[in-house]
Amino acid sequence: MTSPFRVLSAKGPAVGQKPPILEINGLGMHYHVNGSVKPILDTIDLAVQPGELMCILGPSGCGKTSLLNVLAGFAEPSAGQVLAHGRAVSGPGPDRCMVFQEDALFPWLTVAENIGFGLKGKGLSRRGRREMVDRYLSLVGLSPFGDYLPAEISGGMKQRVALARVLILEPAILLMDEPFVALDSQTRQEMQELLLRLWKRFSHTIVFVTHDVREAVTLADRVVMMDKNPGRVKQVVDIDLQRPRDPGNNGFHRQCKQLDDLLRRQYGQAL
Amino acid sequence: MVWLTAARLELAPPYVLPHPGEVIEAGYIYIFGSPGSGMYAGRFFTDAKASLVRVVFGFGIAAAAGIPLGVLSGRLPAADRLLGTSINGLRAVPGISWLPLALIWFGIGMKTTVFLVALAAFFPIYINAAGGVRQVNPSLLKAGAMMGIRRLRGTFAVLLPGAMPQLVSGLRLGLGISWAYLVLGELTGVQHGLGAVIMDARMVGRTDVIIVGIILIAVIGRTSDRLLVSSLRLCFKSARRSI
Repeated sequence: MTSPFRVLSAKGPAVGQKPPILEINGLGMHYHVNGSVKPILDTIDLAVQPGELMCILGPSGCGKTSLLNVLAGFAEPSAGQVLAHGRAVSGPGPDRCMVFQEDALFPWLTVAENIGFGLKGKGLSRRGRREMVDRYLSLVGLSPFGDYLPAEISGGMKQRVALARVLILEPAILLMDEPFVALDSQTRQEMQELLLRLWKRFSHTIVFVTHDVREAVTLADRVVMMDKNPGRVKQVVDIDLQRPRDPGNNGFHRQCKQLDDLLRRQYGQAL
Repeated sequence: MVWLTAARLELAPPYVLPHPGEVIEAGYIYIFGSPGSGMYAGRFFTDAKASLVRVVFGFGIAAAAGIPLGVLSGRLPAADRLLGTSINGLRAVPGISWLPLALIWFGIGMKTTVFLVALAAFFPIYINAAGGVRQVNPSLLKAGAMMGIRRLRGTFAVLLPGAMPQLVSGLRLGLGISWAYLVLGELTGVQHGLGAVIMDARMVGRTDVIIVGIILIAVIGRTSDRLLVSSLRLCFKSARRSI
């Protein structure tokens, strides 16, 4: 049990007191392609603390999305296991909600109906549901757009809806799969700020997958750097910058450069 | 215009191509004439009702079987292997070749026609349903699952609405084919029905009535298609907002 994470987390701030909300033990995954075994993830060991914002950073093809799919319960690991709240994950559930990279709203439902979708069958009155939907609409700044269809709103607004429809279920864990990658940089920045505001308010645990170093440094408490072929944890870096973080700040730049160098070394090895 | 000129110039004898005026008159008598006042007078409503009942039953059976089986085939590879092969094998058989068998099984009349209509309408409904659910964005299904929607409810809340455009296409194609096979079934010598009138008119040499029958089937077929689409739109949000 001498994975790099455990060594690093030992000196991490205030880590290890509470039991982790999400525990990944010896996780491995492979696909069978034309009779040969293609490894995707190799012995991943990670523990996510309650309330933590963890970014998983790595080049495309390193298995970040596969890892997230396993955490969400959409995919089964080939080896090892995932514990959420101390219990083994055996399928998707509203305690671990995912915000997808691409637009995954129901196109036949309005913005408000999309947000209220997960509330169906929860024994809420029509009015109670409506009120909750209104509250979350305003929380993500979309109050005037409740009756619009997804096809009628912009990409950034769609991701706001995607965020609201999972937040309304009050999940303990939020899984985010490069949710802002398709947005322009201005909108992406707004969405990052919105996410941080909501995180501060609800203090859920967030696992955020990205390939963007600046995004990771903007958001994360800890950054898990991943290697590819097969995907494994290369290094875990604590981001100790004070919040709110200023991208113009020297410390911010240093942090970005450090991660950039680490990534580049990784590519160097691959070549 | 071409028809009018051809008739005026008597390019073809009237029993091949009657004058449009005659056709209109025959149509008027067929629809509005008082029953008994002429050979085809006032028969339209009885015939249309008989045909409509056959189409509704046949199409209803096709939809009731085609959509669930299509959904199974589209979602479960095992079901697809089981169903897909045999259904696609049957599909290769032209509908007309079922006619003799249907006549032996069901005799002349209602049942044979309903059988042929149901059989013919089934394939487009089934194939489009299977293709439709196969094409539903997997992220939508994942999203439904993580929001706590279980399998059966997910089918109605996510899968079917997601496949709605293809489901509607399949139903429309199926309904169109229903009318074609209705006529085939009714040509076998049933008493009432739009196809029966056409066959009957051929035997007594009333070309004008044949043309009237063809036009009426076209009009009713078209109307029923519009009706199908609007009722689907009325009943389902997903149909209203995606087609």
